[in-house]
Amino acid sequence: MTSEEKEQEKPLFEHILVALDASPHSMAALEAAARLAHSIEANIEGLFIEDINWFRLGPHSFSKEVSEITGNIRPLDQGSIERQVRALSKRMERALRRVSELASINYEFRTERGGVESELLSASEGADLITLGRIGQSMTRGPKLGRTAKALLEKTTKPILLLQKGLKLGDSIICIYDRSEQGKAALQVAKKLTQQIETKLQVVAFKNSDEDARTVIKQVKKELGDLRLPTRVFAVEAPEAFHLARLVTSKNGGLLIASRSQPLFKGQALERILANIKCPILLTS
Amino acid sequence: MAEQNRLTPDQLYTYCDLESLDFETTKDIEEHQRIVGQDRVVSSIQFGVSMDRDGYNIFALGPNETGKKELIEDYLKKHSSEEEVPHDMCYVNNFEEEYKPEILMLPAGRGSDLRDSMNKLIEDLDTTLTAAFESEEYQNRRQAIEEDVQQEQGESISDLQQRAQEEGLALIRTPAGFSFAPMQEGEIMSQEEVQELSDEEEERLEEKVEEFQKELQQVLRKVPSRKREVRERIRKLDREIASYAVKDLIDELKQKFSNLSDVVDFLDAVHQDIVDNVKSIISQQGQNQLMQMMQAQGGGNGRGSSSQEDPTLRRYKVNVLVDNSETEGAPVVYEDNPTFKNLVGRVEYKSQMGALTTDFNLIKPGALHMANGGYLILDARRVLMEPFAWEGLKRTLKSQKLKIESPGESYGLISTVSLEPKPLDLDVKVVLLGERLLYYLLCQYDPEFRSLFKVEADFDDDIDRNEENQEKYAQLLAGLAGENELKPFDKSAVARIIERSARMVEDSEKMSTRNKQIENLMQEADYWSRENGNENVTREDVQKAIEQRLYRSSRIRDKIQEAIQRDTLYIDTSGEEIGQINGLSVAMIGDVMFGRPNRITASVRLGKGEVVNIEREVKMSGPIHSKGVMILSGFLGQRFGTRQPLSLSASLVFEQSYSGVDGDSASAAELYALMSAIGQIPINQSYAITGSINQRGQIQPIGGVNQKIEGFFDVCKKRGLTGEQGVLIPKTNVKNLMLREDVIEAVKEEKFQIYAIETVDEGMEILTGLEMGERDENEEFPEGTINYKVEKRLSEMTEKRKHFASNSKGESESKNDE
Repeated sequence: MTSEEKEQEKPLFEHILVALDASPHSMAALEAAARLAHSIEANIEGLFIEDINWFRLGPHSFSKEVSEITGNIRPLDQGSIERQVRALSKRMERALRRVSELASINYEFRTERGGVESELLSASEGADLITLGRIGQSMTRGPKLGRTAKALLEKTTKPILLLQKGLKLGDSIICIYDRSEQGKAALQVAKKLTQQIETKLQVVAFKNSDEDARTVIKQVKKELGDLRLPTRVFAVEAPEAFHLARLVTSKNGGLLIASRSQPLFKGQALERILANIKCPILLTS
Repeated sequence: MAEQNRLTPDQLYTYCDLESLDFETTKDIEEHQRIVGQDRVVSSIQFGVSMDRDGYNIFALGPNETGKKELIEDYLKKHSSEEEVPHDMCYVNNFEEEYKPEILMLPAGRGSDLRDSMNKLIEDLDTTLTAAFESEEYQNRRQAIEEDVQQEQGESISDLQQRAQEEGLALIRTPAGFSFAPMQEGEIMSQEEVQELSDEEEERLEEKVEEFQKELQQVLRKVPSRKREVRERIRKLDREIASYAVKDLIDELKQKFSNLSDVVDFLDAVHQDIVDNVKSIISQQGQNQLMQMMQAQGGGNGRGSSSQEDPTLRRYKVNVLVDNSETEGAPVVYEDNPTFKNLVGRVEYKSQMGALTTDFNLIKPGALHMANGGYLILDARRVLMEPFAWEGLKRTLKSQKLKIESPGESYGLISTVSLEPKPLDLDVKVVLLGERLLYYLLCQYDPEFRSLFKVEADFDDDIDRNEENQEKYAQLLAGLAGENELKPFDKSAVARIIERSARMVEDSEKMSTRNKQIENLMQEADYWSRENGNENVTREDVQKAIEQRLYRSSRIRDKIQEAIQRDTLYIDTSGEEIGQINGLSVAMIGDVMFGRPNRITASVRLGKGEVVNIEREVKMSGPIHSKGVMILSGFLGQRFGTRQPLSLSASLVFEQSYSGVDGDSASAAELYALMSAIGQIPINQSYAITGSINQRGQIQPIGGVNQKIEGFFDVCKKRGLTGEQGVLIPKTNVKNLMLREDVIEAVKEEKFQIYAIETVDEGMEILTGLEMGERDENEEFPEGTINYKVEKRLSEMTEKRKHFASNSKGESESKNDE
């Protein structure tokens, strides 16, 4: 077996990191990670970060907690914080166990105490893929992308799978190809994932003009090489974020793969896509 | 005497006059008949059909195989073609009470039109609503509503967060809520750092925290009402968008059906319902797409089609129970399996996730629905044999309302949530077909029957054989030939069928109405014609069909004939015997009737004047036969017992009879055997006799005369016709004669005789060759006559009995003296 063949045989993602918190988006991320892990025979690691700030609340004489549901105010001491965190941790572990057992995959549960971003960044180093709810337990519903997700997108090059409540990982993969090197890399990730899941692949390739359409389709086909699975390539002029989201929905996309270097997957444009898309997004480097 | 009773060959068979048939083959006959000579039936049906009052349904009674169904169906179809085509009948959803579907009655053809239009609407709803709800406008407005309300909350919290920061406090999310904590240089202060704060500063922070907590509490407590507000505003938006999106579709349909106010009301209800349920329609469509995708990926075999049926959208469908778009005139329906469900309709169920569910789309029509506005023909016997069907039919006819319910529900055996479709106003004329016995039994035992079936259409077994009817009969045969795609029948074949028809009813002056049997004969004649390579069906083909049918069914007849030839069954056809005669009987086995001779013997002895019927003694005699034997005792008593008591006992027996005997057609033969035995007068065994007698010595008609003659003829023919042999029949049966060709030929050649007799005396003279004799002025019979011999013997027996009685008395007196 050549080194290239060995590379082909190697699973795309062996180790998937799932950031766990109590938000519904995080639970969606967990379920998607488990499903993906099952399809590509990977294992998952559930990471629950005990925010260091919680433990700094307890000692003050005036520390109190306002209930999110009832608005009631109750005293907060070190003991009650510890109990809440322990309970939350156990809940996360149970959820991870249940989902992993259902998907018949290997799993590992880990808790770390510290800053959320720093701990997640540190844990991401050993992972092939990071899965997280696109927003965490944000207090407001303004931006679609949470602070932690934003930080991770900026500070790590690892592929990140963004999920949210209500959107499930589907079987049909759609990849955005913009001719850049990163776009090519995203296409290779899509190709390999398609092979491993044995599904169909649709590629939305950005053309510069109508005459350019055949060229870009040819390029995609060349990149895909010997992919012997149903594949369709659409050449479109680079759309606006909202229309790209609509296009993916109309093609029944189950997973959108794109490079995070593509301008449509940055800042406000990414926010707009997230607001309108109906499937998870896998952002490669 | 014998000569004047002898029948000529032309009295033995009434041919159909070919000259009277004005055609060469049935192909030339343009007018076809279904009913011939059944004037009473036609008049009854005409009356029943025209009588537009409750309960004037028709019961067509009569023998089977008369083609009652075809005749009535044909008549009704002709009549109904000029009547108005009834409305289409549809069930649609009742949006106010879903378990009580509504009926829509639409002009013929508009039902299917509405159904197709609604199916198109359902298809269009998918794209229309999807387009509307995926439009940028809707998405933006929805987002605006969500953000509008949430922004207020977000701003409140952000404002709070901002102000807290300004006061040196951070808003932290905890596992179960929110908390404020003092900050220093962007980080939460540790316990040690807090302790280092001055008391004033700590007090200030404490006050501020308390203040912010209360504010936060206010903000959070508004969350539920804000969520409700968002939901309400989005609902309003959805309704507005949905109403706008489907308005065009609905308006188009309303325009199309603008002259039908019920349909317009229904469309308004649909419009309102779509607006009310738009979210569930859209979410179901999403699920269907997902399922289609999964099936496609999982190699689905299309079984998912039912799962794609959106329960919300199914409610907008139209279930056309009765589609009269192709109907011409009023419908004429024949239901050959009249079960309860097939009559009144049913509600079907389908299994979904292990539970049985139903809706108005699963309402299925019954024959009464299909026939509404027209005619329904049913077989009475089948209706009566099907559980609940008769009661269901009566209930429906009585109430004039057609309500669909299962027998379990109507009898309270099952109580489950089901549909209660609104009952249909019924306007149907029911025609029941049945045997006479059924009709009379229903009249007798079902008190409701007469009020529901007031018109009796009684089919006759036979019709007069006159020229006019023969012509119509030919038209009937032409129609049957056409319907059955048979070769044309030439006039000789038609004549033979007419003659056969007369033979079927045992009457040369009548024709059979059992059209089915005639139809069978025609089919078989057509077969033989094809076998013989004839262009048209000829008389010979019909004759062949008759003979072959008889041959196929005559195994038992032939066995009996064989037994007679081999002298296993004793029958003499020559010579003379005292107290012995050839009677004639008929047997009916399957659908074949044949005659055979039976030896009847009589013996006499001293007695008290009774005639012993041995068959009756062993309970092998039917009541009519026993009656016949008693009548002959009466005759003997009247003729010979007025001057002296009859001092004899006689025994009569059907020799070699191993099964029951009934009928009185042998009573004449029994009387002759008895008189022969009494008077010791030999009877010529070359003859056989049939006929019943009355007490006055008249010979009365009997049944099966043709078969009886042929039965004896066959025996004689096999033994060799002597010219002496013959049969004595009642004179009143001459009109029934339609004998076989070979019998007629034998009579023509004087090898066989048939005598028609009116009185006992005529027969006795033929059988014995002696005169009967009448009483002279001295009330005595002339010497040598039959009566003389009988009376003389009876006198002798009386004397002997007297003598025997006086001897017995003397003996008993001397015994007493002793």
